[in-house]
Amino acid sequence: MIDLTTIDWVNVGTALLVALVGYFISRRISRVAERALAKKMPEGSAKNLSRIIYYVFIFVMILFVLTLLGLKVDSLLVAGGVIGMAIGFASQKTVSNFISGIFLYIDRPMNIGDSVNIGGSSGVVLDITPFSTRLRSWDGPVVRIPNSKVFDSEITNYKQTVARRVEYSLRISYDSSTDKAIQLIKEELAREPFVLTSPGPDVHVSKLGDSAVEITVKFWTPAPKMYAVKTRMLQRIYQTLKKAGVSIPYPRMDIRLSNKVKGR
Amino acid sequence: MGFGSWKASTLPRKFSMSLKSVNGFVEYSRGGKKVNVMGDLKQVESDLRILPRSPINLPERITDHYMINFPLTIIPPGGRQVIFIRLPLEVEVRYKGRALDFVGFDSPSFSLYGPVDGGILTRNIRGEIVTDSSGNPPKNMDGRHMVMPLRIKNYTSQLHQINKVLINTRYMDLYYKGLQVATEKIKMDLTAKGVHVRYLNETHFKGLQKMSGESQLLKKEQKTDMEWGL
Repeated sequence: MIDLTTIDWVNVGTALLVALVGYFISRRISRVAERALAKKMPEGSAKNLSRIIYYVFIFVMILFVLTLLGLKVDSLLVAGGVIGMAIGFASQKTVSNFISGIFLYIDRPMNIGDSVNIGGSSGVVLDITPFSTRLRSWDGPVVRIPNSKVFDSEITNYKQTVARRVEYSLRISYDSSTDKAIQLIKEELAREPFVLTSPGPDVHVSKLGDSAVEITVKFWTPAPKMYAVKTRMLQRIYQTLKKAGVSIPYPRMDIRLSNKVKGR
Repeated sequence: MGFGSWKASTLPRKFSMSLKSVNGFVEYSRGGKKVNVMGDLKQVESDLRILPRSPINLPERITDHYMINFPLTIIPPGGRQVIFIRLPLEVEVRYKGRALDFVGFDSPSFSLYGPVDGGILTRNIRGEIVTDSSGNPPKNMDGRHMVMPLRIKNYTSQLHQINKVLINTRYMDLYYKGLQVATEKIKMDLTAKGVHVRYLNETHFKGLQKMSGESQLLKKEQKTDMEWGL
């Protein structure tokens, strides 16, 4: 049983008040910091840094409250150190994620809203928290990736480029004219406004294959239009070649059987 | 046809839009019954507005920059020259402040100015120098084109050949009256540190009125640097 007469209710009340005020001050400072930081860095980074500031203030407030309640913070910190080590061993990955999160804020390879590929996961960045990064993948689901994994992974950020290159490899029959095919493809590319004129398209014979001549088509397009232009142009090029009688062959293998069987 | 604002009450309830060239002029009409709205146009403040706009956002908003290409012009060291460049424009139809239609006079094409990371997507505009032998601008305009007065000054000790200028349309105002459309005066300074394009916020042509800020950005920074050279 706790002897209620030994409790210093004034201190408890003060501690509660300090906790309450501390909580509101932490929130306020965090918001002010977020607004100030947002002017100097991307929104996502500002939000995350302000969260860290919030947690630091909450931690300091908790130490202060414990002191008011008569607990010796130094011994608590020592004890906390021992407990912390135990917890630390148990939560290495969490700490690793947190530290990676801080490094991500410093490195800033992406921002909220960017289209990215992180270690094979592609999508739009929804949020970057101190522990994880959330992506909405192209087919809908939200993917949560721990920050330690994000930091170690190869990150491709599609939003940091204004233009992207599209490349196709087309195969045409040896019976068809490559000059004609190249000319038709160039004309089709010239009709599309979103195929950039500078750097201009490049269409050339790239390989003499077993059953077809390979033509490589390269062109640049505004990054936001890349997917639409890539799919549209392939369809249009195919239709143009088909209409002009340029044949696109199936893989073919000629096997000749000989009637003569040599003796043993 | 001219550009301006008209009372919607003078229009039929149902109409379609069409644009055609008649005797070298552009005729814009809205009416399934071939009602030529232009016959009723009055220069009064009202709901319907037909305005010239920079040829930038057709078919979709991709960039605010355009790269105007024009025949090669040589500027000697310390030299200055004023040229008038004719450019295609687009027409915007607004009703109660909402854009209803855009009509373009140029097939759009785009290019990249600068590197892939950090460069600028620009719309290509083929300009034509229309300065007459006395150094003056053309007297007649057709409503399909606008005229850009470009003042080039070479502050360097080298001769420069110029055939393009980078413009940010968000900083550039248009001026118009009837079929006459012109950009504000543009100044292009060639210096040792780079090429700077400035927007002078004044018209070269008397009697033209500045287009309201509905389709132009109000914020004016007045300067574009051609960071990746000529």
